[in-house]
Amino acid sequence: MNPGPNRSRPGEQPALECRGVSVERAGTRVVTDVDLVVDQGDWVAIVGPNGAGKTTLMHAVAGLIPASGELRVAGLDPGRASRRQVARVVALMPQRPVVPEGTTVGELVALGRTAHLRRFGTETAADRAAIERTLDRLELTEFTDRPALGLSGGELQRVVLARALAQEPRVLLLDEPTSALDIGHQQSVLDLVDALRLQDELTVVAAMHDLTLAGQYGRRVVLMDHGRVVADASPSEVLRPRRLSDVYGARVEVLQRDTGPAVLPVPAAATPGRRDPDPLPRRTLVLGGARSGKSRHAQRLLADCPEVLYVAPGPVPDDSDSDWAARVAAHRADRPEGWTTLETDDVAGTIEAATQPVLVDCLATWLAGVLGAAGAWESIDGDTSWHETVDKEVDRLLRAWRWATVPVVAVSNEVGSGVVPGTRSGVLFRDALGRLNRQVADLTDDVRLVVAGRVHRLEDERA
Amino acid sequence: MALDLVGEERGTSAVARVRALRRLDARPRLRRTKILVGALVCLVSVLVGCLVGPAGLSVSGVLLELLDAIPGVEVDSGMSLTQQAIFWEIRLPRVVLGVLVGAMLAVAGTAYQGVFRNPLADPYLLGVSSGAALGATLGIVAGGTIGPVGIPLLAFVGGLLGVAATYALGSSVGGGRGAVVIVLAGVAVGAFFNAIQNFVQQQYDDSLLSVYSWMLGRLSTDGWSDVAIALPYVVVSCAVILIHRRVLDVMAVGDVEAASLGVDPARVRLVLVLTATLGTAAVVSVSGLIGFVGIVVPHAVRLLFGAAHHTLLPLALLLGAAFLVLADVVARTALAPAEVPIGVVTALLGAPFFLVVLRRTKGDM
Repeated sequence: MNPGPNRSRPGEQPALECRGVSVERAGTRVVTDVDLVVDQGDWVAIVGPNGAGKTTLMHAVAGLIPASGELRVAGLDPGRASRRQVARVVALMPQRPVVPEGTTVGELVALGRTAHLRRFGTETAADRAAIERTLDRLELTEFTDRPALGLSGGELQRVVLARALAQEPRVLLLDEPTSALDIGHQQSVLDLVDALRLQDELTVVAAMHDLTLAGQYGRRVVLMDHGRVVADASPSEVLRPRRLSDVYGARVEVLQRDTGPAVLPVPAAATPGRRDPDPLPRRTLVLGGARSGKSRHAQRLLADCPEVLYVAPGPVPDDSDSDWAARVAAHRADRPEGWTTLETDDVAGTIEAATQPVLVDCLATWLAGVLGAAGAWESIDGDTSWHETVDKEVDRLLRAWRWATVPVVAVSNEVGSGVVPGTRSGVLFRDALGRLNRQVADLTDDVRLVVAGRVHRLEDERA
Repeated sequence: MALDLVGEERGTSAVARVRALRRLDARPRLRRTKILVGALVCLVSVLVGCLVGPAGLSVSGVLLELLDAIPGVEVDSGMSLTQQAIFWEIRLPRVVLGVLVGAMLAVAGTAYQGVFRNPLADPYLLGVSSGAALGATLGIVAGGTIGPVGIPLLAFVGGLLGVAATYALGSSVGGGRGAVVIVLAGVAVGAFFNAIQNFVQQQYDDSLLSVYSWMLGRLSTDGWSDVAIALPYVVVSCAVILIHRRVLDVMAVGDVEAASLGVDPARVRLVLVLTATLGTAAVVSVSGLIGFVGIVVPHAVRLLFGAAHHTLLPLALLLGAAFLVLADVVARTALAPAEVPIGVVTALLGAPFFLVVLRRTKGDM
């Protein structure tokens, strides 16, 4: 249901893999720390406001500009491999193609064969056959001898697509493929690309402005903002009104249809004096010491929501710790009607799949469970083998938290040296929880501290 | 256009398709025909160049004389010894030099326009002309001590220095912005060299006339020595540019798209500018600054025969050669026995011809 960012069939190399990819242009970071894995034959739509870094990311993938981080396209590092090698596996359909004067359609499409020719060679019979096949496929044969300069926007788009296909790439990058087209041509070009994708197991990565088309054709939508990936999931998960208004500063309505979500702009006149429909910040972290009233406050934050998923992770208390058991029981007793309680350690998965607000109570017990499962308690000093397991779980949680599409509230213990026992495992737990709190807080809109039943909203002093 | 064509439409489109495919098959033949026409024009121009002059030579005489020169063939051309000497030592070397200079300037101009995607680019764009002019001026000013061999050498070195300075400047301040910065650097370097050249010229105004006539360009009648100087550079330079014909087509779509198609635009630009410059500097050093050929010939060919370099480059070579040979014929006969500087003729003939071509092809573009 949720494709997630790292979905890839086992044993198969992804067509495109970005890990921590950043791009600087003229001293400014335009793309920051992008992780993106695309499977062979998939269609990923990249959306985001103007200047979000979509084109830059595509150019980095095509090896046209230098990028830092790990980047692999069909097994090649586009920054290191030769231009010819890269052009044999990646083709780019540019946003505004350059049309040289006096060039015919046939000549323009033939340029797609460049990387397949012998150095300083010309087209062989096989190349000409490939060109004719492509022209035929896109119904351009009759245009072959027409000057490319006289074409309409839709025809030119098809010619440039033909050139990219003549490259016989494994990954097709489309930069705003339909920006110059009317609605009919938009559909025919995208349908065509989709058909070719299915026929040839072509992988398509398309930067798209039209969110509805992005959702209809993209099997996955990646939302970028200020050079970062802020969401990466199925179209209906990414294209949510609240997120779009956050990122685009736009008023939109999203209609869920069988063919995908339809994004409709709503004019200001249509919403006189309407307030934000959901004043609750998307992500809230409530911190506090033991018996500070933090859980009660968290529940009160969501009191207006009729349906809340209450997630209680961590070890199920047994009778030996009666005090603990009593407290957990008390927490769960005064929950409003209509809330669903879920006792699970898979907090990340629950947040990703949720369609209603989620309350996690609490992160400390979750972390205790994770540390226990990884064998941290039994480990001896200097043994760090369990770190990797814990880091992986924490990463999953942070990812889900960062991309949460529903309001999420998490409760956690604020820890200090005086709160936990000075035993080895106590210190270990304190440090791990301190780090987790910090990481979660970094990705949180609203951090609150509860001390003896009084609540403080915390200012962010890092900026 | 909808991608699903139905019924009748499909029938007509199939017919159109067959026609289009037939046209595709005919294409290589068309290209050969165009180049053949170009070669013919070039040959006729060479013949005219050999025939026209104060000493009348007959067509049959010239043809037989050329036939006789082929090893193993013995024919009597019926020319007197003087006529033979005029033909072999004065007429033919001058025509061959015209072929070399015209071909080189036109091919170099085509390459420059291609790599800089700038229709106004000509072989002198990056400072060859101002560098060579400075070198030649220094040589002329130095007078007898340097002599006729020194002037071409100084012009050659000056031309190369000019372009080297432009390229070094352009790529060091450009920050990877590519072609535009290099062209602008060429403007700066050109202005700088021009200033020095003007200064030197002013200081030695007794040599003003020789400097001026060198700058306007002329083909010498000094026998084969100039041909020998220019020939190796012209052959190598034209050959390297010609094998890049396919790459030049790719460069036409701009650096980003060219790179995505598998070409390294910066490297191609460097290689082609380097070779075109070498050839240009060589012909400039023996013939002076003959203007207009490098810009008019490629454009005329483009307008008449298309922009694809596999046809454009060979035709520019052939027709550039023909144009310069014919311009030289006019230069030495118009005011005979005096000579009109060939640069004046190329511009006087070239400009109206170019305007006619531009006017006639406007409708097709």
